[in-house]
Amino acid sequence: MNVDPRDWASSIRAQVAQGFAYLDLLTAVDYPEAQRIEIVLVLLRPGTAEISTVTTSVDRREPRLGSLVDVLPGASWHEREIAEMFGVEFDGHPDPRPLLLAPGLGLHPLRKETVLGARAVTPWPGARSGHEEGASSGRRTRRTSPPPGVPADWLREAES
Amino acid sequence: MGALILYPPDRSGVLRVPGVADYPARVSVYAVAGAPGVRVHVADLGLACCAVEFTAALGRGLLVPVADGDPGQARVLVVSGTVTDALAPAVLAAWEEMPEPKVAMSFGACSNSGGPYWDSYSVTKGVDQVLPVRSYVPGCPPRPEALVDAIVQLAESA
Amino acid sequence: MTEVPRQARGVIALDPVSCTSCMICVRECPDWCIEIDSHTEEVTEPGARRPRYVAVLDRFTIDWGLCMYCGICVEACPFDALFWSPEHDYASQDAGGLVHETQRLADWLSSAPQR
Repeated sequence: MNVDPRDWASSIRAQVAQGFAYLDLLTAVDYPEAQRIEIVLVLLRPGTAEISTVTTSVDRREPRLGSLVDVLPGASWHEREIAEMFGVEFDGHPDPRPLLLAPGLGLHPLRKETVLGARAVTPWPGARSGHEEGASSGRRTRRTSPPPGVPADWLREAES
Repeated sequence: MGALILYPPDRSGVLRVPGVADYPARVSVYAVAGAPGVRVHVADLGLACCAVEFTAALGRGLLVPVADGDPGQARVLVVSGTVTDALAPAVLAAWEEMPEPKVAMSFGACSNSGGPYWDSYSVTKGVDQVLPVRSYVPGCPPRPEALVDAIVQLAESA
Repeated sequence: MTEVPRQARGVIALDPVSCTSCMICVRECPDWCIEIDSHTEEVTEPGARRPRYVAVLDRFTIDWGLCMYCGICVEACPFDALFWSPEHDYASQDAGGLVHETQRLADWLSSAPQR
């Protein structure tokens, strides 16, 4: 079920009233092309283990959403985590302190544009052909493969 | 910050680190199996799964706590587990609170270099970026026997 | 050294004779902790019409400070050049000392039970 962000808290309240009272999962997904961040909430109905998945999308450029802590107190840490990892601000959160990351990190690491610095600048040992063929052998060097997990648009100082 | 860290060892085995309330570190003087006469004063800063191997060394009798008031030949801070940038100040505080003479042991790939988290946005790439390390024990995790061997090595060089 | 079970995964030993420097282990390693240097040599056998080119391993290193002991390199090696050994007593006084070169890796072979 996808809801308008303005109806987020009230929709969840209605779900809880219908018995979906157990907070199973609260997380987010970044969609840079669509300029939106999707918030995903999975609720369980205790006893029958029925699942209700509720999603909403917020604007990636200025992501904010009403907090669910009033409805589901257990959402507190999850919202703090989403705030750090995706930069979503939760209006009305009673304790919006950072939860996991070191102060001054200066980025939201689970946003897709995040560059993993170490992976971007470490020369990949597999990039070498292994056999450094001399001119005498007269054979072509093997095609080298790009390092795994490093998108082409990441800065690579090691290459020139 | 008013940190109270319990050195010499206290029966409660609680290490109080600034920013981290009552960190459940094990602080004790140990005798080492297979190395008669070696007594080492160890504070285990267990941050992740490698700490289980420290417990295994205790459980299998490779390290035996002794309570005879012996100060030990070497005072060792064992950093076992993943040091994150958020926790690094607490690790440094624990080190600074430890009285001289002391050495630090990095136990396992995470505290050696970041290990599996070598490209992470939040993991310190080795505890040696925070404090001076005298002994690097490789492994992911290292066996409890590797801990004992490295401790004996440290005690002998102390 | 304290005794451990023979099958323990303490270190990975290298058989430099079996290694063809194919780079598969280097590229499969999730931690990027293996490095291989090699070169190609021309071998002309008597009676052969054309020379053969043979890869010669110059240097094989594993950084044990980085390795997560997952064993993917052991599994991936198509030439059975890598083996688990139970040796574990190789703590180092400096981080660079955990980078082991070809000969040191080959020395572990004698204790590798699979070999």
